[in-house]
Amino acid sequence: MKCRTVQKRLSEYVDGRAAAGIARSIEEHCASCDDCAKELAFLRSYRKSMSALQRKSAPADFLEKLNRRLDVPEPRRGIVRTLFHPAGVKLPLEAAGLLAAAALIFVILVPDEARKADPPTRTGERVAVTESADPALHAVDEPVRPPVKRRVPQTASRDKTAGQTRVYVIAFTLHSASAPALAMNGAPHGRAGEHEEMKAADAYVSRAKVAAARQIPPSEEKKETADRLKEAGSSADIRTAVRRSGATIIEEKCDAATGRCSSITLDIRREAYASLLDELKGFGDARPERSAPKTGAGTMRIQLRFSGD
Amino acid sequence: MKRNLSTTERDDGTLVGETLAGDRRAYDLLVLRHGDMLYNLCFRMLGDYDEASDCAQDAFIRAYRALGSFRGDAAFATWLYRIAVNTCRNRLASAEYRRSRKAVRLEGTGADDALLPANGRASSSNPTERFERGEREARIQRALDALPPDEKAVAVLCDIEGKSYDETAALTGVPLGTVKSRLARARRRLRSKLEGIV
Repeated sequence: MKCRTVQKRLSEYVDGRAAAGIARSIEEHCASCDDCAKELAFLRSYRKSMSALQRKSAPADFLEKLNRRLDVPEPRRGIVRTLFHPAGVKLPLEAAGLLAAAALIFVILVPDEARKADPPTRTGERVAVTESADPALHAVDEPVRPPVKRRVPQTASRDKTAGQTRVYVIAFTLHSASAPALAMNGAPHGRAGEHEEMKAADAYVSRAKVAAARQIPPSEEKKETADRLKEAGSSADIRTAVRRSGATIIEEKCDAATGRCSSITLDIRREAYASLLDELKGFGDARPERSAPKTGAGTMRIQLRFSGD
Repeated sequence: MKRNLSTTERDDGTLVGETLAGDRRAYDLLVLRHGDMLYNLCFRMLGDYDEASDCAQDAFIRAYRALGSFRGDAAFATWLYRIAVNTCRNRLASAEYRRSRKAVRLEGTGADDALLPANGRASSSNPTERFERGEREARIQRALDALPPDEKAVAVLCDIEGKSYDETAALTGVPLGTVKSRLARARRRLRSKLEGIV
């Protein structure tokens, strides 16, 4: 056994806690090693001296003083003690600071459980809820409490945060032939009749034909779409398709000069979301920025953002 | 401490029960029974008579206020010891205590302790012998005071109070292996200061 190993074990050895084999090795080593033998001698002498130290007795007035202190009512916990000694456990200032920072970050990044429960397609954009005759939208307008505190009724929207509505954005690339289905001269939904919409479609198809004569002819698919739009009458209009899926148009953003709409905001029952996408297929390529939740009840707000082909 | 009350009639468990029932005299008996033990522990941990007295009283007060939580799984003395060890460690860690010790070190070397008989009761009537013993004990205490609190607690419990490794582990709340390593480190540190004294 080497000196270093022996000296590591000597403390246990003098206390009689070393295993028999180790104890024998230590004894053999110390018999031939002066340094380790001196260390062993010191430890033995040390133990003897320490255990022989005179025991101190409590002062004569110890009990009297103690009783005086016991008679004093326990002081109330101060604010510092409450903050840094919760449950009687000392909490260092550094730990308290770290906890506070973590709590702050948590509050900032995760404002409520609704976001965690219903995370997917929020874009950060919020719009004020506008009035609507649709009863489902009145449900949206209800003031909301955090979901932890109450169970959200099945009829109410779950896509709300602090009284505002979450908007699911769908980027929509229109086939060029579908453009007339969107032209509204900036008129909000409901003011333009289907007859006007058809006139716009006709005008577009005419322009498309002129363009086709001058430039590259539209693809067969686009031609078919244009034909279908014209033949299908009012049902070819995107708004009609939207309404057919059960959605209610809330807002449109259209350029008064060109008559082209850049976006349509609508409310739709969550269960009708898939049928909306089906309805829109014929007009272009819909690319939801994130997939909307597939389950749950209530109304969701969607913004269709249009761009050309 | 005067023992004008009989402390041998009833065991600790009975006295705890009577204290909980509202009999403060029962707690006095517990203090008389364990007061010296706690005071000695606190003195060795803190190296100062007044601090030891305050700290031992603090431990008894904490024990009294927490008596309802004493379940009797361990002996009352063990429970009390544990409270005292924690109280001493808190005191050693407190900024106020560190400041006061620093002031003491600046003022003097602590040789006054060597001139005083231990707690006013000398074991020898020979003044020279008494002085030498006092001085030796004061140097041992100063060496103990220089140890880090965790190592000091283990050294005091094992080497002065005569607790086993297992008891020390239970009292300090650290694993057995940690007790062994802390004790070995404490003894190594003490050797450099106590060589030729012990």
